[in-house]
Amino acid sequence: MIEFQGVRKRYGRVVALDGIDLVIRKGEVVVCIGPSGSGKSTLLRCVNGLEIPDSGEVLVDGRRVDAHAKGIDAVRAEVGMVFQLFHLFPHLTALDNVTLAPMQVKGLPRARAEALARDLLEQVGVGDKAHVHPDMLSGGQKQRVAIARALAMEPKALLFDEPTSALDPEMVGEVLAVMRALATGGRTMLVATHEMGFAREVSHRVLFLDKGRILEQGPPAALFGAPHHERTKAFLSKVL
Amino acid sequence: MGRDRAFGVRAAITGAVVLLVAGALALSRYRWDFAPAWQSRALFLEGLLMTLGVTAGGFLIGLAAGIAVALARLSRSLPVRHLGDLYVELIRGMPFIVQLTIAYWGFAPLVGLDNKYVVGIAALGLFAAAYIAEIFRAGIESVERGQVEAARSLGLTRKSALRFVILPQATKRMIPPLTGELIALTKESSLLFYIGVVELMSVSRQTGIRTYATFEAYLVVALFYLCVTFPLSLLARRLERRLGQAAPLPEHL
Repeated sequence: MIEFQGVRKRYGRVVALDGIDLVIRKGEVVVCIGPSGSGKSTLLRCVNGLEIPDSGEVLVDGRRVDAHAKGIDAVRAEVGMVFQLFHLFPHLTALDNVTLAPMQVKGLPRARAEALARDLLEQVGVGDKAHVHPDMLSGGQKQRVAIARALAMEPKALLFDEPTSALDPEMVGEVLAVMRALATGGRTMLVATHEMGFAREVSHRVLFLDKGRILEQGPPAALFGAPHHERTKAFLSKVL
Repeated sequence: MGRDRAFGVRAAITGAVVLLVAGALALSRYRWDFAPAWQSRALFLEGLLMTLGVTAGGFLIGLAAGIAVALARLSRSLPVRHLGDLYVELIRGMPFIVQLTIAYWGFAPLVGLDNKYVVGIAALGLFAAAYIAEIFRAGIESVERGQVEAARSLGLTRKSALRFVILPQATKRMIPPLTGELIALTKESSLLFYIGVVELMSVSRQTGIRTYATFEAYLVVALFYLCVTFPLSLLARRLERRLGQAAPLPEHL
């Protein structure tokens, strides 16, 4: 479904990704953990072409991700993304945030797009906020609307870039609950997070990133229970 | 309550200054004669209409050309971007009266154009375009990067992202500075007297020269300009305050 082949990326002298090889299968839930600056965000952002690798290739469904090519919009339409800072469109209501892409990208008529959006908002638990603008929503509600917005394109895969890091602690649970439901529903998901509980309970595989490399990976039980690397151990001892 | 008090203070100070200036003028040895200006009131009104007309025309041309220049400066093509930059730098680097002179006595005859109103309005518009382009660019760039990323990551094209996500947010922020530009242009339009457009400045000059009541004529025209710009300025301030509240800060701030 998603494939990285020797992907490297640097910002000036800072190495963000240092040779990533990775295959994520359809329906797999993969969680990226690691210290900040380890490359988690960059890894995700290469999947939908928000970042352009210096070398190597990223494939989505066998198609090469090329941010400069015309096909990039098609790839992006099939890969949903949820951001740490939500990035809801502040001038649009929750409903219009969700309907925008289906109407403009897929050409869905308004009535159908709105029916879809209402279902999705209901599904993430903010059905009563359809006509509210983002500035009237709590952080947790914003992020759930953002998830609904991503789901509206019926993406084949979802990217979550630290989706709960900007939330007040009491709102983290409601967002994780939505993500948990998506994961058990068979979605392909790539999640960068510091929520070890989520990684442990929901993911099929955990990647530990350090200085742009996948230092260690495995099923959560193995990685959390018996990490091999010293750096993994050190990191886990701090966050667990 | 705080606002009422601030308003009272402002009104009192404005009144005091007006009284002071008027008193000083009245007590001076100058022999005031506002009769010629009063007799020319019809001319002044025509001048006012002309000022409003050329300003409005110039502003509309400025908006259209300004958008074009702003889009050029945001283009992905380097030559197009440079052309836009060059335009803004050239126009902003010269006094308007120099451009007007070149336009009217240089370019216009070259292309066989002999209408001072057309040349004047066009020059005013092309002048305003450089400043309006900057306002547009600043407005577009003030929309946080995450908005574009969110839009593009949903599969929206560059154009759709601009149209449905960036511009609706940017235009709101452009309205107060655009009002400011309209005020500036109202004042700038006074230079059209130089090529013979009979607007406010020109009327007061003629009245002054004809009747020797020069001082009075210019005081009257000063008041006319203030009557146009002051309400606009109040409007700009109100818009700034209201839009500032309606448009929320970036979500993470």
